[in-house]
Amino acid sequence: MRALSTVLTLCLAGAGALGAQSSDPAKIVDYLKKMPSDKPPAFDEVQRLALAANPLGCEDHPHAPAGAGARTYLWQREGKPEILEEYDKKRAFYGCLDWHSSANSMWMMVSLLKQDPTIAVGPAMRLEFQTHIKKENIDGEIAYFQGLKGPLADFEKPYGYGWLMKLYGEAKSWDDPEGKRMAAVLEPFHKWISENYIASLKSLNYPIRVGLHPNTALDMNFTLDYTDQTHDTATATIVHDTAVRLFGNDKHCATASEPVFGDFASPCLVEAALMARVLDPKAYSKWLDTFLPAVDAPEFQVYATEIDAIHGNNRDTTGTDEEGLPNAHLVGLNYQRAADFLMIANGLPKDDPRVPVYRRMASLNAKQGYDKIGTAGYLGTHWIATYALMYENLANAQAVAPVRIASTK
Amino acid sequence: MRIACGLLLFMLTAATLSVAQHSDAAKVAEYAKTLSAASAPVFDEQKREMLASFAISCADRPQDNPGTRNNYLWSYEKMPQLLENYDRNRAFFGCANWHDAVGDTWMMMSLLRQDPTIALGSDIKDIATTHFRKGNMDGEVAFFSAPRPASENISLGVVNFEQPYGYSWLLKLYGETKGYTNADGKKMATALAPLARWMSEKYVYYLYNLKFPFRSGTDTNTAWSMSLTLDGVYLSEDTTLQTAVRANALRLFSADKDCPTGLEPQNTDNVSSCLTEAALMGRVMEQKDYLKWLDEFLPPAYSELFHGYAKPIDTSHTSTSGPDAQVQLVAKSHLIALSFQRAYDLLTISYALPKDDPRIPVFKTLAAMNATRGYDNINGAGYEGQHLLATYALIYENAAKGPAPLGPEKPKGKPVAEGSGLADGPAGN
Repeated sequence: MRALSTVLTLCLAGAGALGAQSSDPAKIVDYLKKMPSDKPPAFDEVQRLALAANPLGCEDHPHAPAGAGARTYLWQREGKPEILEEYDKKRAFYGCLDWHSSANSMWMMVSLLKQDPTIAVGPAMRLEFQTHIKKENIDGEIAYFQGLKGPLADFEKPYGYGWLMKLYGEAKSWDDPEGKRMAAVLEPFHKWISENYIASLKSLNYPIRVGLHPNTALDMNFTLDYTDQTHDTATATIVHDTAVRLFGNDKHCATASEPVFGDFASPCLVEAALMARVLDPKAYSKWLDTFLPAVDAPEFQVYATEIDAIHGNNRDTTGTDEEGLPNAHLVGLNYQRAADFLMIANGLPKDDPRVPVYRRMASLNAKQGYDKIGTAGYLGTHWIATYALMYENLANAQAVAPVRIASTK
Repeated sequence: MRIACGLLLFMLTAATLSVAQHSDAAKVAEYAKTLSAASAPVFDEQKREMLASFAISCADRPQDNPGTRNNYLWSYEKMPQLLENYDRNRAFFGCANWHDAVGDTWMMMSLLRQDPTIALGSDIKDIATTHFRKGNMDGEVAFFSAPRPASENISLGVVNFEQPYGYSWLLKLYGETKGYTNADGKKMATALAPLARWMSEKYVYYLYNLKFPFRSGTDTNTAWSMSLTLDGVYLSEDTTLQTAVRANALRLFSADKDCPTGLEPQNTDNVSSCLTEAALMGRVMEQKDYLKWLDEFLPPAYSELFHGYAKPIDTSHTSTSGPDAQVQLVAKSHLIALSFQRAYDLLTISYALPKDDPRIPVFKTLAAMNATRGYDNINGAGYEGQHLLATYALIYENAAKGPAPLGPEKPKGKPVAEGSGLADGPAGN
């Protein structure tokens, strides 16, 4: 009887991990063997130029007057919409449909130019920097943001704030006179933005987990991109502590209910990506065991399944986009997932059998992204290239070595 | 060893599947013992007055100019400008936003109906009289039924202003006024009837065309909106609406499993996504089916994944010293409301269980704990809390009196096939 109960206890211990990842490397290797080996196209000059065309095409196209994000930023009147006088001298991020997309397009061009200084459209990109990131424009931005009151005070927070910090970090770490000029112009705005972002991070009681702009983990990843570039360890420490506080005890992410129609971020993967940058590999491996399902579990296969960008795969949708185009967010989601998978792989111990599976997942999702990148019209072209580049930077080891923070908790 | 283990595991798994895991009476009882004894808060005259005074203090305070430019109260010709004679052309212009204005009105009507001698009764009647004049209600109907210019289509909050949450509140309020037997009450019901009819029709159409539910813990939550609507149906005797809620609840939620309770709440939640769905299903499913469904949907009451509902909701990080103080207070007020909302859900679930179910005392204790915490913090979020929290408190208090009646007749309605849409629904629009 005692022997039997020992067996039972052992088995129960195994069963207790129900929902936790299978630690059986053989199964993972089996799964890897069955994965398709599709790869995204090579990231060569042609590809880079194709991506660069998107921000170049949108930065000088002012936001639409009725956009939900426009509020009072650019358009003054509703009855007969009227654009702010001399807007191109008083605002910096007035293109690309909305504020955050303008900021991320600007980041995208800096990042591209940094890694390919002779890219054919380099002068055109520099012209965008010179016309948008000027002192008077940034002064106008600061005045606008500081004047926001009441329910409007969170305009572009936290997502746009994250992008502004990322842009500043990219410019600041660019070894080029233009980078230095931009960083100096952006500096006061960045300071105001980062102070307010940190205050709001500390004010968060719980995270936001939707697959959209307010996703807490997504925005914290952007902030870490900035701290990696600038070695701002004070901010990095706050992000680390907050990540551990908000996500450290999370278990059993509901992967099976992804993606929601309209998502451009994977709530489960983006949180796993953040924790990969915060925890040391051993601790991370353990945390991941109970957070994501095993790679061969049915609930994980949403990431191996092509995203139906026209209809959505499941959940939370009231229909398709009006014009029958693919949903731009669901197209961009492919790249977002791909980038997450690479961050997750980078955070695990090198010999972890899941690493090659996650890397393959990244390639498969990136390929899906490239297959559809141009299909969603302006709702796609004003931002998706940025998400493609975030993936490429990780895939081509353009990502900067992380600032490692000794865990404070 | 591996084989033996596999076999055993298989048997164990089979065992957990065949024996409903939640009904493990011993474990549930053991867990119940670990909960500190909590009695439900006392709901006396003093408390009712306090709740009513919240609504009274906000009913005539015009809403701020919202970011969404929905043109409901503010127009955007040059500087934002309040609608001329707004208090003659709108009925629900107070309490921070339309749905909370309706919710606060419902709260006052409900308080007055259950306690006609309440000291603030005459104030409540004054508000009802001045807000429910024909001109005000005509203005509401005209606003809602006016076609929206296509150029505004991108902006959410303009095209389907207040659908579905505000619609549900209006339908709940309408049911409440229909419950009055005196002349004043009947007058209010008559005044509300055209808007209620219009919203009922649109809401029914909306439900049958909803492809997938919204599951976030906010005002968009489909199950919560359905619950509020069902409350009103009892007295308004709107059987089409009742059938629509029931049939679509079964269509949208019957197959749900393993709700991720462990990841609740999110920072601005005022609704528990998992509990509210479980509460709704308890009202629309046959008990036998419900017990099976619930076992697959919620983790066992004694499991770690359920313990979040026993923990206080943490609002200690909220800082209101920055420029976004109002945004912070909104988030905090939602988290306080969540205590009452959880309490309501837990009671509603307990009412759907068999009388001897061991989970009942656990759910009731958890409800009492949550409600007590709600009252402890009811003043913790300034005006952002005042315009909302008393309403959520009364939702809980009404549930604490016993199960909500589901009349007017035994609900009918079968699940409709996915995508069958209008074929089974009334032709709206």
